[in-house]
Amino acid sequence: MIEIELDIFSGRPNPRWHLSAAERNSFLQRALEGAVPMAPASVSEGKLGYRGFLVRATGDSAKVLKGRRLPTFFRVRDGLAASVDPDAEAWLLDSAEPRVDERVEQAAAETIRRPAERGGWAVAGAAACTYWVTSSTNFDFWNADSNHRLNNNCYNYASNWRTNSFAQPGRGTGQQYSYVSVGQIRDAALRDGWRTYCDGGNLYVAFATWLDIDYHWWRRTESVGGVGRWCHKPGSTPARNYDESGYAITDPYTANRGNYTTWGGYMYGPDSSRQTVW
Amino acid sequence: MLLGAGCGSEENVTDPRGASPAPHVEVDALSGRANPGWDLPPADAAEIAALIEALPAGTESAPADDPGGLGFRGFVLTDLRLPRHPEHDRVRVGVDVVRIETGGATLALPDDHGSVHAALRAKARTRLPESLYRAIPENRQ
Repeated sequence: MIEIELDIFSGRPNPRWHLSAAERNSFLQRALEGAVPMAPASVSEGKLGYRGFLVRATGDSAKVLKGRRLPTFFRVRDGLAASVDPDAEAWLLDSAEPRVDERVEQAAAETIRRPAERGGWAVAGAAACTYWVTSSTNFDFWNADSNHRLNNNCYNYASNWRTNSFAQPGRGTGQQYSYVSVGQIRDAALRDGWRTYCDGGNLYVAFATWLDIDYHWWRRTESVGGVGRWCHKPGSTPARNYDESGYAITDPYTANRGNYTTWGGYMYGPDSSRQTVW
Repeated sequence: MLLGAGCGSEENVTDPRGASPAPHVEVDALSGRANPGWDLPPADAAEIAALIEALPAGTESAPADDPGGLGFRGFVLTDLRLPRHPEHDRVRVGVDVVRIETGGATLALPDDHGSVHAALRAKARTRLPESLYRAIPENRQ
C-alpha cells in the first residue's frame, strides 16, 4: 500500500489518500527507475504553503522499495534533494483528484510549476541555479595516476580539486573540524565556502558520517540517460559511480552508504571547483 | 681537537636516516580522514612475518586496483621484513588472501584460515576505537 500526503497546511491536517493498484504499480516503476526525487521526510523548505508530497509505503510496496535499498517514507519535492524529474510532483498531484479540494490542488499546482526563488531551493537548469558536473563514467583524472589516487580523498573529489593532501574540511581556510559530527563537518565545509543554497553555477554535493569515526562526500555528476547521477571516491580507492550495493547512484540519500548512515545533507559550492580546500 | 675526523671518509659516514623504518600496519577503512595505523613492535612484526612466510606459494594476480569501497578494506603492511620477498613495496592483508605488491606485480597468497588477518585484527583491538574495531570482519570459519 502507498499513502500520499500533500504537505501544504500549517494548522489543519494535510490531505492524505492511498494510490490505487494501477497508480501504485506506476509509481513504484518510476521510483525504481530513479525518476522520483526522494528527500528525507524531515527535510523541507520550512515555508507556509506547498512543501511537496510525503510518501509512506507499507506491505508489498515497501518490500519492493527495500529490495532496491530505497526508503519507504520520504518526501517528493524536485530540487530539494535532487533534481530528477520535475514531473514526479505533477504525477502525484494528478493522483489527488478527486480526493483533494480543488482549491488546495490548485494552490499546490501553482507552486509546482513556479521556479524557486533565488537564494532558496532551486531546480537544476533554472536560471538561478545550474550544476557544474564532470563525467559519470570517466575517472582518469582521479584514478589513472596512483599518486593522485592514493593522496586524494572523498572531499577532494567532491570539491573537484586535486590537492594530493587528502583534504580535510576547514583545513584550507584555517580551522579544521575538531571531531566528526554532522555539525562539525558542515560548519567546516561552510568555512571552506560551501553553501546551503544554490546560486548560479555550483558544484552539488552531499555528505554523511559514520558515527564519530569518519565522514564521506558525494558529488552530482553528468546525467546518464536523462537521469542525474552522483559519484564519489572512498578514501584512497578509485573514484566510482556506484554505491555499496553496486548500483548507480541517483541520490546519495537513497544509495547504500555502508557504515555512513548519519545523513549530513546537501551543499553547494560556487564555481566548478572548491579551490579553498586543502 | 679532532679536525674533520671522518670528514668525507666513507667508512665513517652514518646513514642520516638512522635505523630502518619500523614495520607499520595501516587499517584501510576510512574515506575522509586518514586511515589509522601503528608501528609494529618487533615481536609482533616477527609474528606477522612468520605467518606470511608460512603461507602457500602464491600466484601472480592482477593488482587489486579497487580494494573495496566504503568501510573496512583490509590491513596494509609496509616496511615488514619478508625473507622470501625482500624487495616488496607493501602487503595487503584480506580475510582470506595476502597480496604482496612488488613494483607493478602482485602475488596473491591464499590464506584459507585467515591467520594473518586474525592476528592483525587481534592486535588492532587495543589500538582502535571500539566502533572502528567492530567494523573489522571476523574470519570466516
